[in-house]
Amino acid sequence: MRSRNTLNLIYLIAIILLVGFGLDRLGYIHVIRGFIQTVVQPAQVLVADLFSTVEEATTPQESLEQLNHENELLRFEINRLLVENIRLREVEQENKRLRELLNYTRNNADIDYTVAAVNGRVIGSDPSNLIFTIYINIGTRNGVAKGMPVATSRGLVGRVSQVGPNVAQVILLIDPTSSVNAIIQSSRIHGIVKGEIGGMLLMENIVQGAVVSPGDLILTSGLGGNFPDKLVIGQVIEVFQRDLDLFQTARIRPTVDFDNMETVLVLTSFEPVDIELELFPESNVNE
Amino acid sequence: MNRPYLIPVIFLIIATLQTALSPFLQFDKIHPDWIVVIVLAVSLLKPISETLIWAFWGGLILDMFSDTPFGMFMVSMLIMAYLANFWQGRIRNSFIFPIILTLPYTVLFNTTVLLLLQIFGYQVAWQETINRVIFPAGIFNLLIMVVVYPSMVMMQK
Repeated sequence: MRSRNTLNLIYLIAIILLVGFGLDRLGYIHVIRGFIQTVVQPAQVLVADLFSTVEEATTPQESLEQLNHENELLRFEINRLLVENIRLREVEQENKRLRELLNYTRNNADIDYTVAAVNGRVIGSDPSNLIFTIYINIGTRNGVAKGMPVATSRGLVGRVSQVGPNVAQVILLIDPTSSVNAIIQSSRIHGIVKGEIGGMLLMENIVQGAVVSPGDLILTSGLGGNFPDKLVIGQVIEVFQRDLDLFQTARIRPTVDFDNMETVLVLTSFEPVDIELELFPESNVNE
Repeated sequence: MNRPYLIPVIFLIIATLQTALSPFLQFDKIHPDWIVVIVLAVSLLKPISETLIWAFWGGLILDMFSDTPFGMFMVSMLIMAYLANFWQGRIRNSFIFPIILTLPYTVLFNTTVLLLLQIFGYQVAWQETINRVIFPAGIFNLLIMVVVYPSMVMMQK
């Protein structure tokens, strides 16, 4: 140790760290984080707007317009085909199940994607390279609440983790804290999709013996009550299967392009269910 | 620094810029860690007491902007700054060496964060993350240090 002052400084920092950690466990740090985010949000919006304008201005006008137009058409087509493809597969699956189990004819099998939504513009992301969160420029004043799912037309993006009056923080699907109950569309096998540090997705807890192949589509299952069902998550690109393991694991490529998100939808009509609170309200009150 | 109360203000401004501009400045999902680079430059130039104060505020601001357990970035930043301060006074006449040091020290910072994340129950794909995030981020930071370190030396004079 180089001097008494340095030692005192280290003690002071250690005390602040311990107090801060305790406050975090009690949930008070979230309040401070929310306050800071609300304070810096106008500056974030301003800087993001300014940079967008500069970026647009420095790109050659003609090629920019042309590319934008082509890009828009292609994106529209991809989204339309993707949604139609999923809808048709769901219709097919549902049709098959109903015929087999209940001898029903196909009846109104459309997926309902028309949810009340608010547009949020992405105004920033986490300062660290290891955590995947974004900030959007809408908050409680727009009806956004903690836990609400966030999506784009291509699929699930994540969920709202913190919310202030005009800003919300969204934990992305690829964040290591993220965990979503999912289903493989073709085989109806359930699993859990988790984010990995490094921006990848893994589907775990897939039972041994289940047929999983690259290209299979992964959707939200709705189990657990945190997300609505049938939202697209991604496609299987690799399967890890060892006879010694209890479960199989699959690597998933998300359908959402997390690098190029500008606008997202917050599904405000969906209210996440806290199953523990619903089933054991008394034990939670006592706590 | 004569006005230590400016340190959190400086970092708050940098963190705001970093969060707002990272979607524009990223390359293959990696963006520069301005705060880490600045703390590292300070560690190489200033005495230990000042280094720890900069590392404390830098880590605290990162903790406030991230939805992770409190103190993770602060602890990692303090460890990195404390170890980097070993070179303070030993490399006064070199511009190249401090820039080269950026790579191992930012790798150390990110690896400590990763380790703490794992301790807190996060799922960590070590090899994937080191190859795809930590080393590219270290190289990105090294490039920034080319600008940051000489600027800080000039400011010190």
